Amino acid sequence: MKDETDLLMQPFLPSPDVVARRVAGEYLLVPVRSGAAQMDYIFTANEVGSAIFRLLDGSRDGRDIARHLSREFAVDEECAQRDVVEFLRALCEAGLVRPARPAGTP
Amino acid sequence: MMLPEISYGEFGAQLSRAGGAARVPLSGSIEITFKCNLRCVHCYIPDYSGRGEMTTAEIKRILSETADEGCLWMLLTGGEVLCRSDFPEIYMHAKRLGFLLTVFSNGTLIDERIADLLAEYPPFGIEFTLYGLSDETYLKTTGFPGRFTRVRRAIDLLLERKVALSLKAVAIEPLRGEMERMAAFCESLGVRFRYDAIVHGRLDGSLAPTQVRSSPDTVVEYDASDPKRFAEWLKYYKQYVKPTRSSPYLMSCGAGVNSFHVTPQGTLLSCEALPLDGYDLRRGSFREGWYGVVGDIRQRRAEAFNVCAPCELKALCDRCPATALLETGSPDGWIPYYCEVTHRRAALLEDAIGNANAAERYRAHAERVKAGWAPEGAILPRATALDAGGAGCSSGGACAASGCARAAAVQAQPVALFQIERPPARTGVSREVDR
Repeated sequence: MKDETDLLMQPFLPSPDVVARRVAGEYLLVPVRSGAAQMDYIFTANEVGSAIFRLLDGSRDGRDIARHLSREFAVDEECAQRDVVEFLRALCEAGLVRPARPAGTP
Repeated sequence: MMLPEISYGEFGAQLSRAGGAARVPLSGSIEITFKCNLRCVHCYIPDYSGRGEMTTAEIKRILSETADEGCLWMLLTGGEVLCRSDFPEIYMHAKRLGFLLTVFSNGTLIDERIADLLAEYPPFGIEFTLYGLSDETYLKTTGFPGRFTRVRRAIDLLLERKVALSLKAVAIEPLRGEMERMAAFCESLGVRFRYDAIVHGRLDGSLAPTQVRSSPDTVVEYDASDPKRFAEWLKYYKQYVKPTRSSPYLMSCGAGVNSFHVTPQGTLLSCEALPLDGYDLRRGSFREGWYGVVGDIRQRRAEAFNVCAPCELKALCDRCPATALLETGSPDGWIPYYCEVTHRRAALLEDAIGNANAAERYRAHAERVKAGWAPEGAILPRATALDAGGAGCSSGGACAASGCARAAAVQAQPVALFQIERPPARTGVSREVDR
């Protein structure tokens, strides 16, 4: 379980074995490879969740993403950071994202 | 953090509602080849040579285009999909597009390499069709010796790897007496089993496959003998058949609304068995075909001689424009076999509901059909000489099910991620009515 600081300070990337798709207005995350994610499930994210997922490019960290959300959805940055942390934690636990840098790398 | 769960059924219904209104092609099938290593007695394929079929690049392009348009459920079928040596490449391309991918196979060509691929990149489901439970039966039904031995090994290879396998069968006459055994076999494996009695005419117009159909009495005996299957039929009947209302349109299923089919030659159709209003995907894009000619079929009205369009039992019947076209040459044609099966089945269901009058009406209608009666003006199966016996079937009157009367009359929001549990691949005992 990653703590809040990890989730905010560390850039993440989508797992290479998860496909993100928009289908009939729904934003879906579909795991395609065994061991990579919870294969017994497919996932759907709402607009804010999909915006976060699309911003996971391996260079932005959680604070950058929260700033972006704050502008796009007109919410205060503190609130946006809480959303980002909560969402990243869910993504990590489901195996849908991975840290952009190996553990221990500055 | 525990993610809120949505059931798969709820998710599917939600997506269908959203996609239906916008005519999103949510569900598709691609016959990647007609080539097959079996020659099943009931098969609808007229040419197994593989001539003129799509290249690997063409199939991959079409898969990508369908994903771009919003397709989620994709079926790779044949023929036998593993008769194409490029199956792993096609399969992986489809997986990487994020389809919920199903594969239909006869199971005889699955080896460890393919089983490993399916274990590492799991399909949403893979279904084998069983043609018996012994090499001897397979020889009768598929024309080749030793095939059940191969299928049995393939089943083990997939179950060892926990691949989402299910098994199915077609209740044809040569399998009479084996259906119960097949169900018990699947139950012993903990694998889902389903069957139906649908046998199409062949795509070239031959009615040879229909000669191996089980009799209507036998089909309904299967329904009656299995309490679980019968309960599913009854639920379906009350929920979907009874509320059916007459429609002026030819089509009554989802073909061309949210679903499509692509033939091995690259023709986009609304349905695999309905070669009308097709679009050549080798000459244009999926988008052009889907939003162009393929949707036209939905606007077609049933002809005056289509005695099935106003039938109150049409949602229970396996006759559809596709099966009618293959058997009668017209999508408005009438198929006595399905008419008899449907009325016998409806009689059984009405008996269970306690509606003796309706049961009697339906049973009388089935008997008339069995005796050779046909609705006046109906287009009949090719090479079938039936008497057109008048405006009504004389089944005691007022049987609207036959359509006889019509024939005579002519901003910021809380962030959320939900997980949707996939339907269980191994559900133990169930036999699912294929609807």
